Amino acid sequence: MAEYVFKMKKGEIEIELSSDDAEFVEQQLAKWREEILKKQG
Amino acid sequence: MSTYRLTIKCDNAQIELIAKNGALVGYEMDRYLESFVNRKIESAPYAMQKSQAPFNNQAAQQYSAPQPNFAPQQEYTAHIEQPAYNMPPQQPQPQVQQPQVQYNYNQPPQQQAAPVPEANEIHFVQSEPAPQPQVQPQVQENYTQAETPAQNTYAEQEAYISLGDFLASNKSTDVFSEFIISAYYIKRVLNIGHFTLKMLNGKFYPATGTLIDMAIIDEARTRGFIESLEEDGSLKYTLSSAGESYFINQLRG
Repeated sequence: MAEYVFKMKKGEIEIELSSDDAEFVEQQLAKWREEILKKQG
Repeated sequence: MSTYRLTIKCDNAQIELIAKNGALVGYEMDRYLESFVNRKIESAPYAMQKSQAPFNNQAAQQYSAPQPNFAPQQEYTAHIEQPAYNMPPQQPQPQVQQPQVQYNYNQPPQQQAAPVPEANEIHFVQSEPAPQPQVQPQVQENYTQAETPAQNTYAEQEAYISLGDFLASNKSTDVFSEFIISAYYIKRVLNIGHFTLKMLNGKFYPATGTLIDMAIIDEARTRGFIESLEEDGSLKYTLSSAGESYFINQLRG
């Protein structure tokens, strides 16, 4: 079974999500990307 | 059933959430999202590594030295997509009819976690301040190996895994299947040849909140999944080859 991982690091904070639920990981990744890029803009 | 793992490290503290409930993990991630995005890094610009630079644009702009000419969004996008490039190629999976889960992140985690409370575990780990190794053994690494009962599939790379994690990552549908998975865990992960009922329940109860009784033992023995022997005046059990095959073919996640 495939496992999907995405890890975010900022300074001393590190957040890592791993799951075999591809859809869930994709949703979370999209949400975080959108929020961070919104902040960058 | 899917397993979700969320790890948050900050300074020398680490919080790890393992659950079968994706909504719970999603809810917890949402709680950290805003503080993560708005967090400012206190380190000096010269001390920054390039990978951290996009997070510290404000500090970089205040610094008068020539700035590197890169587009922050492009740099950052590349950074957050890096894990996706490292993902193992998705294997074509059979279209199992699974109920579609609609994640509702607005509900509190207690309501989300209610159906399977025993499946969720939260570990609070106080880690050493020294740099931590970045390589962590992954559960799926051994799944590509040949499925022979005699092979010690999990022992070397997954000795760290708890019984609760092991149960969550396999197909435990009832107490009997949980017992077989636990027997496999003891034999192949902990490398303990024989176990007593007391020893098994010492690990089983904290993970599941239930106890294995003699009815389960008898059923497993009748079906040839475990063998028993008397040693030092106590009755001990071990998972048989048939039991290992049953685990590999029917219960392994």
